[in-house]
Amino acid sequence: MNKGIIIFAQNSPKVDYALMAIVSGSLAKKNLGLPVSLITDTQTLKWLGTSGKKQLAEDVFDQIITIDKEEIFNERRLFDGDESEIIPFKNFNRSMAYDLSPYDKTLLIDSDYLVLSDKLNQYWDVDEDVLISQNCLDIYDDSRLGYLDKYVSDTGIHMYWATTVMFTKSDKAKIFFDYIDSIKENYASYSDIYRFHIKQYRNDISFSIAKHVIDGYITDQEYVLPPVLTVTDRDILHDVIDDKLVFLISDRSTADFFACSLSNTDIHIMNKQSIIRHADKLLEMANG
Amino acid sequence: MDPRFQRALDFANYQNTFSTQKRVLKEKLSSKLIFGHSGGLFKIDNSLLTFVQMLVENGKIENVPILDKEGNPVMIENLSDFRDAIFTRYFDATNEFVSAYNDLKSKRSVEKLISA
Repeated sequence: MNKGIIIFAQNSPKVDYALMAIVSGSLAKKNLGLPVSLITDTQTLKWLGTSGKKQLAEDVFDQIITIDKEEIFNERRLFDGDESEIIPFKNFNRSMAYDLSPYDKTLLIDSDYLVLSDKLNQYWDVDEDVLISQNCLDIYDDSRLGYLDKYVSDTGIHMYWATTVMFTKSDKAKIFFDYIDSIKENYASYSDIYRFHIKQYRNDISFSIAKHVIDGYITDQEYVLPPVLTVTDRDILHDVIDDKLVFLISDRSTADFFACSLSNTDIHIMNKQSIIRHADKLLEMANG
Repeated sequence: MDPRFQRALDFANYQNTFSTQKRVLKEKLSSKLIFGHSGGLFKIDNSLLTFVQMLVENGKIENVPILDKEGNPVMIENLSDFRDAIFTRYFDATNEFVSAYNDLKSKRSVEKLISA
C-alpha cells in the first residue's frame, strides 16, 4: 500500500493558500518522509505561475491535482494578532479527498498545519479506516477554548478537528466521505438536527457528524489522531530561528502578548498571514 | 509605577512563557510515548513497561496478546523485540524531556527561555 499526504489549497483574494501549502507540504515531506500532493483549482495554479512559485510547487509536490474552481465563498473574521478583517475562503471540496487522493493510505492536512515531527508516522498501521484528531489543544491553556471548540453546538455532539485526517481506501472510508458530501449538500437540515449555527460551512462539523453517525450514533474515541496543538489567529508567529518557531501569544486577561517558542512539535497556526510573512524562513527550515 | 508592581508584572510575563514552554514540552513527550505496533496504539507508561518486562522474564515471548491503550487486543509476535522497542522509545523520550526541562528551569529571562 502506498502512503502519502494531501493538502487542499484554493486561493482567496486575501490569502495565498497555495504558498501556505508549499510551506506545509515541504515540512511534511521532510519530517514524515512521504510524498505530498497538492489539490488546487485552476485559478490558484495560474497564480502559482504568476507569482513565480510554480517550479517550487513542482519540486515539493509529488502530484498537483486540479479541480474546478469553487464559485461559492465562505467568509469569516480572521485575526492577525490585534488586527482583523473579513476573509473569504473556499473549503467545500474536502469531501473529495477520498476520490482525489492518489494514495492507498492518505494523511490529509490543512495548509496551516505545520508538521515539525514524525509523530503522525505512528498512526499509519492503526487498524482503523478513518482517523481524525480528537480535539484541539491550545498552546497556552484550555481557558481560551470555548464550548464550541469542543462540541458542534451547545447541546451537540463532540467536535473532531479535521485539521488532520488519515484514511485508507476502503468501503468504510468511501461511505464516510460520501456521507460528508451529503451533509455538505444538506447543511441547513443538519444544522437543525445538530443545532449548530449555519453562518459558515465548517469541515470540522461535517466530519464530526459523519463520524458520529458512522460510529453508530456514539462518540467513539477508540482510535483517533493526536490533539491538534494550536496557536490561535490572535497569536502571532513572530520569527523562525533555525528549527525554532517563536510566537507572541495573546493573553486575553491582560490584552497583552507574551513570548514562547517550540521546535520538533507539529503545530496548527491559525494566523495565516503570519505563516505567509515567514514563508521563506519556513522553507529554509524545510530544506535545512 | 511602584517598582514592586513592575517586578510582579515582569515575573508574570516570565511565568507565562515558562508555563507555555513546559506545556509544549509535555505535549512533545506525550506524543513520543505513543507507539504504533501491529495495528494497535500503545501508550508507553510505567504500567506497560513493567508488565511487558515481567512477561518476558517469565518466558512469554512468542505470540503474546497485549491490550493496547484503547483496550483492544494486539498479538505481539515477538515480545522481546517489542520490549526493546518500547524501552528504547521511553528512554529516548524521557531523556530528551528531562534535558529540555532542566534547561528550561535554569533560564531566568524570557529571552533565554525562548532560545532554550
